[in-house]
Parts: sequence; structure tokens; C-alpha cells
Amino acid sequence: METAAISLKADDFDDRYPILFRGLTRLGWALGLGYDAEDVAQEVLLGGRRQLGQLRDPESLTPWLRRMMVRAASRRRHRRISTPFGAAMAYVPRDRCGSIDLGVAVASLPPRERLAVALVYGLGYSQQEAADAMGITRGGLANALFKARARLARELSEQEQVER
Amino acid sequence: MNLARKLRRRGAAHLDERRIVAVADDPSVSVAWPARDRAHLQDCSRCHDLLKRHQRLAASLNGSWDITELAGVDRTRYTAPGARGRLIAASLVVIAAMAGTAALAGSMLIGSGSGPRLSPGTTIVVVKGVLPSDETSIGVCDRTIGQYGEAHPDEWGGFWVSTDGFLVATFTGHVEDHARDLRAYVPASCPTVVEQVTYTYAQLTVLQTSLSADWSKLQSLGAKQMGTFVDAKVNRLHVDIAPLTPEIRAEVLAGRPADMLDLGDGAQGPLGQPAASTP
Repeated sequence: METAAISLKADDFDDRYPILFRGLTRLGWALGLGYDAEDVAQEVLLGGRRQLGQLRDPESLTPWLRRMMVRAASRRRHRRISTPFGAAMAYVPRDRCGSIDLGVAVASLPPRERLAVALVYGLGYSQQEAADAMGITRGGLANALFKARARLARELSEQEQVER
Repeated sequence: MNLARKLRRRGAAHLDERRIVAVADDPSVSVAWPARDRAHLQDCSRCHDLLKRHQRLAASLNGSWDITELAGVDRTRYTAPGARGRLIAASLVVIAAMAGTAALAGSMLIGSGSGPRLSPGTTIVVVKGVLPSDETSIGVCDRTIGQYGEAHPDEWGGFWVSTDGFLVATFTGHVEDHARDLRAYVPASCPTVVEQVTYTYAQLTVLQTSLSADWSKLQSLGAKQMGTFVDAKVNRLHVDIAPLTPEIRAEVLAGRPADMLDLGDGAQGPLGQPAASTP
């Protein structure tokens, strides 16, 4: 009986594969994986499928996979060595501020703040979803978002200020 | 009552930035504020300017986002042998000379602005040696070469590991320039050769994406499973479709260069789904 339930979940998982893959790949880009995003997303999905039996609530499949993706991305980044090329690809907002390169400013944020901003504003996650993916509390996420925004606001030049 | 509030009552303290951020996101928030705070936001130039900055910032953050290359290698040296390319090459010469690598500096000058000279299939040995056996060292090697390639998407063809233990990095052009740069860049423990190929990894990926987009059409022709991957070794997109009927083969090849595809029916993508996808 239990086997049948797991098998059913696996079928459901396979049906959802394209959507899950697309979502995780986008998350991978936001996590700064660059061209590795698809590879890591596939690894996560294959790992997730193998461990489907450990998932108690089918409704939490997506947050569960996102957490796995964040952990996998972290492992992948730690394996990277520093290169003279710096950050090759980054997921950043199109700069509409004018006087500063907001993309560079976002890419220069501390990792936790950058990830919080990318998940909430870039990918449109709710604060709870982003907190779950990052493995932190919602308060911690809100704090990271505020710090990031305060930092970015300070970088807007005086010329950028609108006439009162 | 905290100190900030006491000071603000005397008109000496500014509004907390968190409250300003909240108003930037939703102006109606300030309606519930005490009149004194609302007045402060209007009258205080510092708080008002901060609000304007946060409003601008919120507009940008809530706008569209892109995957962008930042702080990458300036490819001018390879693509436009003009004044800027010479200037960059000269700058690199100064940096290289300062680092005491005079030989590298000289070779950069000679190579700057040169066009493609090699034909596909040409191989240049960059680093001789034996590929390390532990996973960490191999990871360092493939990461190094992979990142170099990602910084040159216009000519990068991907890389593979040969049976005799070399990492084979492929490019569609300026192979000598890339070999020279990789020689100065790749760790001595990473045996590497550079080869010239016809198609870039990006071109093959575009083809992969187009096939993925046609998956429903292929399904309507009877395709059950499809798997695709860029095979850097043969510089083609490997495609497995089951069953591979003549109709499906014709559909796959329609409008796609046959020499970019390696079409078969032997394998399948992960979980039996199309392997090709884009974020």
C-alpha cells in the first residue's frame, strides 16, 4: 500500500517535472549559478525524486525542492575557485535609476541580502516562500531585505533625487 | 517611549528608515501615522529625499530583471582589433610586466587584434601533464576552464575530457589567443588542450531550446520520449527521440542544420521528459 502511494507520488512528480525544472532553473540563475543552473536543477530533481518517500506533505514539494536547490547551489559555489573574471553572470534588475548601475549595486550586496532581494523582487516569491527557501525565519528575511534596500538607497546619488 | 520618538517630539530626530520604506511600498501606510510624523515626512528634507530614493528603488526592484554578464572579460581584444583593443592589450602588458611575466606580456602584444587563422580540428597543447585523480582537483580544473569559456560565449564551444587525460577546451575562433590566455590562467596541474570547432556552445543550446519548444508538435507525431544534450566532444547537439519515425526525423531536421544534430533513438532524458529547457 505504501509502495503504491510512493509510486503515485513519483508519477505526479514526473508530470510536474517541466514546471519544476523551469522554476528551479530560474532559482539557480537567481542564486548566481550562471550556466550551471540547469545542471544543478536536474541534479536536485533527480535527488528529489529518489527521496520522495521522505516528503511527508505533497503540498510542500516545491518549497522542499527549493531548499535542496539553495543547498546544492551553496555547495557548488564553494567548489568554485576565484578567477580574474569576477562574477560572470548575475540575476539583477534592469537599471532604471539612471545615475547608478543598479545591477552592479545589487550584485555587490552581501550574499544573504542579494539572495533575499533576488527571490522576492526578481522571482516574485512571497516573503514566506523566500524565507523557506533560504532556511531562515520570515523576520530574518525581512531584516535582510531592509538592509539591502537601505544599502541600495544610500548608493543613489544626490543628482538622482527628485525635486521636492 | 524610546529616545528617537522623544527627540522627534522636539523636532530633533528623523523618521525610522523602515517606516519610510513601508511608505515607499504603500503610500497609504502613512495615513495611520500620527499627524506629527506625516508633517515631518513632508517638512524634513532628509526624510523626504530618503523617501524619494526608496520610491525610485522600489520601482526598479519591482520592474523586470535580467540575467546579465557583469565584470566579465572585455572581449574587445578578440572581436574588434581597433584602438580600444590595442589599449586593453597594452594595459594587460603593463599589468603582466608588473607581475614579472615578461614573456606573457610580449605574447599578448603579438596576439592582439589577430583574426582567426586555424581551421576546425586544430589542436594546441596548453598544459601538459596528468589529470589529477581526486574529485576536488578535477573540479578546480573543470571550473577554471568552464569559467573562462563562459566569459567568451561568442567563441566558446564547451569542453570534454579525452581518454588520454586532457581537458579539451573548444573554441570557434582565435584559438591561438585563447590557448595563450589559458596557458597563463589554467593551473599547472590541469593538462589542457585547445581545439577549434565549428559551432559555439550557445548556438547548440539555441538549437536545443528550439527542439524543446517543438516537443508538443513531436508528441503529436507520436514521440513518447526525448532527451537532448550538447555533446562538446563531437560539437553537436545529441538528440534521442523514441520512437524515431521518419515523420519525426523529418520534423526535427526541418529548418535545422543536419550537421549540428546527432539524432538517435537510444536513450531518454531525465525522468522520461524533454531534457532541453530554458529558464
